[in-house]
Amino acid sequence: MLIDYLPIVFLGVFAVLFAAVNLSLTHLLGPKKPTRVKLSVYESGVQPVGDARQRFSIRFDLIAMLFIIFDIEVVFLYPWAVVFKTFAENEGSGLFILIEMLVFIGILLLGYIYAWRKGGLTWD
Amino acid sequence: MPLEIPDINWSLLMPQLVIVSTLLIVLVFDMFDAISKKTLGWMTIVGAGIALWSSIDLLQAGTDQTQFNEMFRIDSYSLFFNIIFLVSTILVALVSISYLGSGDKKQGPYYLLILLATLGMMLMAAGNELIIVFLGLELMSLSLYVLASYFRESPASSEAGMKYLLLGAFASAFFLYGIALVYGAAGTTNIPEIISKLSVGDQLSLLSESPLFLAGIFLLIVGFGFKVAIVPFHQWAPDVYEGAPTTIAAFISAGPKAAGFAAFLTIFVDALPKLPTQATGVIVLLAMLTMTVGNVIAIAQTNIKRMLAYSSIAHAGYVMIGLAAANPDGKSSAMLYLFIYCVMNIGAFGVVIMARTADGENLMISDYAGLGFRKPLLAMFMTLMLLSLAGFPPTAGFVGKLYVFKSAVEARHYWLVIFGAINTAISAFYYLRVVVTMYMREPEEELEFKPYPPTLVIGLVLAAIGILLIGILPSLLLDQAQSAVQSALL
Amino acid sequence: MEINLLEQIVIPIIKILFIAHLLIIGVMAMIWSERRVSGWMQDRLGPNRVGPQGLLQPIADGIKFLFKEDLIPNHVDKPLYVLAPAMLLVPAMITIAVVPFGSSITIPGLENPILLQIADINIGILFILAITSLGVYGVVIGAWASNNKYSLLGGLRSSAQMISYELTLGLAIIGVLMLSSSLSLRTIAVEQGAYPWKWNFLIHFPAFLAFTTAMFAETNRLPFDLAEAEQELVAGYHTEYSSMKFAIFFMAEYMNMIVGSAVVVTLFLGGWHFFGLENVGGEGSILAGLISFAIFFIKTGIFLFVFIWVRWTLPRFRYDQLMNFGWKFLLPVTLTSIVVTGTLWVVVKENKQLWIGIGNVVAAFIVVAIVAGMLAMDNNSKSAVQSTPAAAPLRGLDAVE
Repeated sequence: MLIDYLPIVFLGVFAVLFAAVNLSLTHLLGPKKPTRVKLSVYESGVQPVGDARQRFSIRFDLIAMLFIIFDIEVVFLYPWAVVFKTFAENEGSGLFILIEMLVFIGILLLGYIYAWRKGGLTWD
Repeated sequence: MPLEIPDINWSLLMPQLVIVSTLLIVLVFDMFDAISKKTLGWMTIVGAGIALWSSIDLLQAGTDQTQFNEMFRIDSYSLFFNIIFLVSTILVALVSISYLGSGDKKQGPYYLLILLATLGMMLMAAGNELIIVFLGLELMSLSLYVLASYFRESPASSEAGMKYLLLGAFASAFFLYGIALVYGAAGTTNIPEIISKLSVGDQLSLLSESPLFLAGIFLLIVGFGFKVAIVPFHQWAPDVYEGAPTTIAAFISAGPKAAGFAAFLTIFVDALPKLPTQATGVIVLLAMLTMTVGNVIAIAQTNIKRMLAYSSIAHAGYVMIGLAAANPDGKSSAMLYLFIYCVMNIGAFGVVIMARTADGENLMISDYAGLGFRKPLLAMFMTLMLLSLAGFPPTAGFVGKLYVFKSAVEARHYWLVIFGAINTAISAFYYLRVVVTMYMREPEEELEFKPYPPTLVIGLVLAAIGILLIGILPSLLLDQAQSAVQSALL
Repeated sequence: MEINLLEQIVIPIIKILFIAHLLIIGVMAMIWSERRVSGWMQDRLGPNRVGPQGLLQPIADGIKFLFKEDLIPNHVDKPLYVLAPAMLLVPAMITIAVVPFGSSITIPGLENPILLQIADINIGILFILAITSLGVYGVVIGAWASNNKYSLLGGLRSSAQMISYELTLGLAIIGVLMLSSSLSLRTIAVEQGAYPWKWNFLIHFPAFLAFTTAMFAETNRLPFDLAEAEQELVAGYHTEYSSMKFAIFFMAEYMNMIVGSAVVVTLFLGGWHFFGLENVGGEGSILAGLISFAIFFIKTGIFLFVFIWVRWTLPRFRYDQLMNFGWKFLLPVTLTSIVVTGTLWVVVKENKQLWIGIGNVVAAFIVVAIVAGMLAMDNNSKSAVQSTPAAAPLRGLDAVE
């Protein structure tokens, strides 16, 4: 029921207000004495070299992709898990739902091992 | 909460299941470096062979059923297309075994992706639901994007993959948007239901004139048009064919085009008579444009892969004639044409691979000068494939064109037939030019050819036998195609 | 539908105000206790000057933060830079909404008993996973907007770590869901009952450990605080943040800890149940409600103590170890746990929970042994390759020149 979500909206409003009030209070209350050094990039006190908008390791991209693949597979397991017990109540359908899941996880596992063997999970 | 075990007849899904199992087996064996990667190629061939056998088996049993809540259609139509896909997969795998470096690690994903793409095509042909068609389309396209850029060291290949990805993703988006609009107008994504909603009794329903629906249909044409490379959505084809590995160029030009048409035909052959006449006009116009542009530009090509690319665009135009005819004959002749086209096109690309020297591939047409007598086998294959592409009797290409034109005459699209005939004459010019170059011109420099790999020769012999057999005994295949269409109508 | 003003608006607001303030006070208490406990563990005093036992120290800190200069450096992407702390804090706070913190109280005159939970929605677990995963945006956006190399690296590391361990988080719950057949946290807590030997942490022990570990990683706590490894990255993604904005990052981290502990308690440790105390004062009485809340509070507190305890006990992982641990140990262990749970539930006829508990532990041991063996083999072959002076050059494809 949608009405059940109403308190969450209230809490969300509260959280946003809490963050906003805190952020603006410090803006109003704090002193303002900016200097050139204060406003520059922090690189452990050394003169900053170059810009931070640089290319970074492709590995992070790979992890993101693997995450999407596996996370979607996990999402498919949720509805299965919720109806599992109802199916398992009688002999035939219990076996059916079990085998369905074993096939699914088996294929998932194959993909996982493949990614591992091909070095997708290796950090160096 | 009552729960039911879905009733699935697995034996009807044999072709797809075999392909999936082959895929998993290839995946497993790919993980062991010790196993020769050529084995994977043979596994692919065996798997596709079993799937082919079971498709033929189901076809002969006259199967006509739907599975998974009518989302998946197993009838003679989809099974006939399965045969087209599996035959091209087998031919491409045969050609590939020698083409890729034998000790190369990267061969694994190659066959894996080919199998995935084949599965996607089978889904497209079997899809009774726009969503399934889209799923198959994406499965196929994503595999092809990777395959096109398979030679990572080669800039041309990477470029081909990138171009294909960008334009293909764009086309997929069009297609998906088209599905959304059609769903919005018709309230369902089930293809037969949409078609039945187009008419009430003998009268056309309001749906067939609703702008929303027509916009959706138009977007679907754009999406399919891109995938099967009809003018004006063809620009990607020459660049991708040129840059991609030659085996992959053969693959992209064959199976995926057939798969695109498989879905195209399912939706449009039945829907066109129920749509406003302008829709047929658009298809006729596209067919004319495609044939003409493809053939005329092909004349100007000096690179054989680009020439074949434009020729494949032109051939899409011939298939469109069958589509425009929009009658059962048109459908069956288009199916027949696609089958023949796949075999001869893979054959032609196979000959290009055959003409390899130690320092790469000979892609310029001038490189073929004088080969007629120095390399008789190669020249013979090439001549046969090109004659068939040009549509000379007694090759299969002739049979294909004949039936397509016949269906258009029946549908009273006389102008279309005249255009097709003129285009056939134009195409004969550039196909025969290669033959003339081979037999009547002296080579500028002596080329050292690599020895012919046996698997490649086997593949080409199979293709040649197919072309001649269908050319001489067309009823072998046409009867199947006609009965497939008949059963779909009943 | 008619909205009952009192039951659907007023009472939830009271509950929200209570819980949200408890959360904020909890963060303060955590900051205080972290410093005191670490002092105790390291045999020193810790803060003890502001108020009795230094109890007012966090408040003093907060006031000080408020009066610090609100510095926005020149090079940052200003809107995102300001937004990032809030984007981390808001999800951290909202997550608590679906966690049941006690049984229910029946007040005469009201139609329905008051549930000690802000919102009992039927997709509670999905809500938690969905909302906690939003926290990554705060980290990444803050890191990127700072335009600082330390921040960017910290943010990348942190986001890669968070999404990697989110998989484990999601998979570890599935075993629990299978036996409770519900996504509602209240149902899961009720299903476990009052007796510790029927709680999920015994039935799904490997999943429990995996979930807890992933929880540590999600909150960027030691031993997984690679994102803010002081020696390498100064403060990681919040290097460029100061004053209250920094404090909000800090608060969000502690809130995540508290909410995480509450979720673990609900999913695996029986929620607000404890045997012998379930019926004091009668079903639905205010006393019983308060006792159930106290039990939940104590359990969460103990778990939070474990957080601090681990932090001052274990050293930090190396980054490749962290990724290996997440992808190569926790993921297979949780996957196996699902398979074992499902198979045993269907196959075994009696004492299902007992057998599943045993089976899970045994299977987890086997998986860990296999993975460890494979990793050891990998390492051996790797060092063998490195010792050969010239590795074989990459063989290109002979079709491409």
